[in-house]
Amino acid sequence: MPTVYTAIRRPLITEKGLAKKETEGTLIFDVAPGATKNEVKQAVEALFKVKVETVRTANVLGKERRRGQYAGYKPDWKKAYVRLKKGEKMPEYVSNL
Amino acid sequence: MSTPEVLDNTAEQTEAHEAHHDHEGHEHHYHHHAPALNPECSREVLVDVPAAEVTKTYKSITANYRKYARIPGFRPGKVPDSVISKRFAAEIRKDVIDSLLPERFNKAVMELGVTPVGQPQVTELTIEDGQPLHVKALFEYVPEFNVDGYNEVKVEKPSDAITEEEYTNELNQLRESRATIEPVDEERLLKDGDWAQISYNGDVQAAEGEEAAPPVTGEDALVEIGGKTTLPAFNEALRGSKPGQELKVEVVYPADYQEPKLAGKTVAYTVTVKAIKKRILPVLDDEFAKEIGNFENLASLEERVREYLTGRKRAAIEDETRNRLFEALSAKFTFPVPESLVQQQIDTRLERGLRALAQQGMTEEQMKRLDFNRLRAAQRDGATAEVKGALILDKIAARENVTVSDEEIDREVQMAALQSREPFEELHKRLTEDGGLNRIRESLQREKTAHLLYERLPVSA
Repeated sequence: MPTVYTAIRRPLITEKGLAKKETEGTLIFDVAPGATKNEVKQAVEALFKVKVETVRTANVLGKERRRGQYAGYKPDWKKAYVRLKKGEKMPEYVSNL
Repeated sequence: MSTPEVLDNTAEQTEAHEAHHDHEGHEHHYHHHAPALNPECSREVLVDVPAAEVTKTYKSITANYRKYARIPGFRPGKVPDSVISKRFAAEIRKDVIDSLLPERFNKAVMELGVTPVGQPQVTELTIEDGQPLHVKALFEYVPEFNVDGYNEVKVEKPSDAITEEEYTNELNQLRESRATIEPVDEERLLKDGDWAQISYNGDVQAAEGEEAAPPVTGEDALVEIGGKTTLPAFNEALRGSKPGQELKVEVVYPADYQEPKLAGKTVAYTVTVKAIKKRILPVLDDEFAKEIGNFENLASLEERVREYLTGRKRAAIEDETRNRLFEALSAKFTFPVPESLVQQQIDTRLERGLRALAQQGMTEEQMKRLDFNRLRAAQRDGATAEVKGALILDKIAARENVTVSDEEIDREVQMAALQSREPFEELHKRLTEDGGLNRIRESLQREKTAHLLYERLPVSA
């Protein structure tokens, strides 16, 4: 079972991710595939010291990658949209490198 | 004036500084690795830029980065400023400093009324978006000093006219180089100055416990009797002998003989004298002149020799006299010498030295093992003297109105272009960009001034 430190793998810092953060108060994370919505919620609350409204998750299937004739797949991963309660301060991601 | 080295170092600090969200805002960064500037000719400048201007510059530079930044997750040109300014914090900071500082620094220095030299050393630097910029920098300047009475400094200047003796020597050398060795017809004994044609067979006497070396033999060798390079034992033996004679000579080679196989050995030679020869120097006439290099007649050869000798002697004397003149000038005028210039000069000298070593086949590996600190220390006195001489010459040049025209510089560039096989235009463009033209101008001006001073010296008897 993932702990608060292993549930969240990284924030998704992309155009979409930042736009959702600005307009909908929603953070997007790449989370451990085994993590439940509840675990993600607890992890976000613990790590960023904020209140979470809801969590929606999606399993993203890995894309096919080819090296010539050989086909393979990027790993599957789980994405979590975490909406914070109204009026919560948006956390700053420390690093985006 | 940019200070890349200084800025790079502080940039790293700021990154750490921002990550810790430390808003103290002041950082002191002293450069222990930089050479200590000469306090007698260095000054401090303060540059302050209001916050509004700093913010504006930050904005425009960030906007610039936004245009080209490619960051995964964002389409090019669509990366938000907040991401850009974090991701490129160090680069943006450096650019901001580069665009704000040099101009203001130069202005501040100008107001102090001195000419800066070398790289300024930043001792204090505060820079942050939305805050006023505050910089404290230490720089060295061309020291103020008086060159009054430089015309009174006199050193001996030997006459550069060539003497008859030098002239005859040179001509004789020419003749020697064309000398031929001819057989002597008459029947007589060998005497000093003759050349003997001999064949020899020498048994090298092996030292104890050594294998016998093969004998040293030679056919038709030419030996000068009484010549400087001839072994004394041969001189003794051959003097007074005649063709057909067979001689026994025992030669003990000195331990430091140039041929290691023979050094320290005793060799018993059997020498057969075959013929007496004489060295004939060519007669100085029109024929000789023609042979030696397409001169029309002897007169033109002689003229050319005189010309060459005069040139050589004049250059040597000028060089030597100038050195003494500089020494005298340096002794007369004392002033603080900017350390940064001295260091630069040391660099140039070392570079020159290393290039020479590389040409002699020294590998990079070997060079890395050199003790650079010691090498630098060794160059120091010479470098200081050179810097001092250059500064004095600059001052005198200003007094004497010595100027260098663009044509003179072009000519110099043209020569360099020919040497490096780079097209003139390209080289000229490159030198304009990296300030090389100014360096050429400076050195030409110094050269002209030095020549002027030299010309002015009266010839001492």
